[in-house]
Amino acid sequence: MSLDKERMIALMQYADGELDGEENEAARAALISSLESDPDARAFLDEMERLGDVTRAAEPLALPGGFKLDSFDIADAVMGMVEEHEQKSAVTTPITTAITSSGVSSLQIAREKRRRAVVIVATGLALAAGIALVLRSRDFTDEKDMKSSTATNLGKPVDSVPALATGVPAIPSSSEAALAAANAANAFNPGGDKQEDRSGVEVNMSDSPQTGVSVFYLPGSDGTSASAVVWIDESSGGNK
Amino acid sequence: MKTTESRGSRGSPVSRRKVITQLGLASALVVPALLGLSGPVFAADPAPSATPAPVPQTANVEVMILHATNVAGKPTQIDPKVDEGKPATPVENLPSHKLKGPGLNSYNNYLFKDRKKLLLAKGTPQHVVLPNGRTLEVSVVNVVQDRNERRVTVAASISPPSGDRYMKLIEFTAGVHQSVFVGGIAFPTGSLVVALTVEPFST
Repeated sequence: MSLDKERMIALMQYADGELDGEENEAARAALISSLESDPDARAFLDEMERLGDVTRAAEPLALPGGFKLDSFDIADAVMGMVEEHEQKSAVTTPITTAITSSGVSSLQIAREKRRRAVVIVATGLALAAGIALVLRSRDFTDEKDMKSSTATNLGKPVDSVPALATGVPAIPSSSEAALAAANAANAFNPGGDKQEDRSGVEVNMSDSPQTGVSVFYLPGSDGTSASAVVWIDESSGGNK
Repeated sequence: MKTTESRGSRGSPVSRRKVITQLGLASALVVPALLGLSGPVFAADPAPSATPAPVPQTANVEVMILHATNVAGKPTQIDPKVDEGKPATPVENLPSHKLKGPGLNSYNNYLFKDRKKLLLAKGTPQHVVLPNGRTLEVSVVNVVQDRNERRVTVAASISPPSGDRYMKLIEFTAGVHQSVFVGGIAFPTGSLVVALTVEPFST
């Protein structure tokens, strides 16, 4: 077959009926007349007509989504599939998923996460505050109990017990060992200005002229009613 | 699509109110705790009154006089009268028990000589004549209300064996039922022991 491009296009136009109008009558007449002397052109035209017969005799082209094309058209097929896909997405896809895939969804998700974080933080703060208040109230209760207990045991307030502030060794509540401890801890101090009993008796010897003086502090049974002993040794020449 | 997105981004009004409520509650609980403030529920003590009531400058002081001696070969004997009028318990608080303590246990025999209950007013000393002829002067220096306890500062002086000037023995501060024993005062066959005890206040 030796047909040039223009010749083939003209034959195809003729086969497709594009040269049926009156305005193309001259071109159609010239083409028809040329077919008598051009066996290749006649053969090409026969092929084109046979192809057209096959296409027209075939079933309409079935496309997804129920589309049917009487003639094969790629553009129509692609557009049909796109429309079908969009319709399915709009009907069946949840909003959040659709939003997620759109990119705008990240803002909503971030806000949702932020809201949850705020709730968690607020809950944590409330829990921490509750714990702090419980501990605080417990400290307050302990402090109050200690004060009342001390006041009960010693018969006086905590801050008036000198030993608690001065760190004097504790005196046992009773027994000879307690008295010995009291003796050792509170042995006479000639140069001392003021000697205080941890249980409340405070002896001030600063203005006393005696030289041979001993001071002892005696604990009570449970710290109550403590006593002090001031021993003046007049036999040694102090006040004779 | 656009409407849905806008609605979703705003969030639920109920959730927003819930978050604000939780934040407000948390702040109300946390802020005072962090600041170390205690709310009115936890107020430790009521506010002290601006001007405390004046404390009467009077006190009841008991003066008990004992004669301490040493009796060889005998166990410690203490006149039971020393404990008269005292609560039987606890034993450790009884004068007889204290007489066995350091400084006082150098004598093993205590004889009750006298007991005087003095109502002392500040600035007005009272005198007690001792068995040795000397005179003990007792006065109230101060009476203070220390929280829930009243405490008395007492001064005791004694006349010297010769002369008429009082010599200050001690000054002590004590609460009710607390005692100070003054021993070693020269007396034949032993010494005198004077017990000064703050007694309950008159109402």
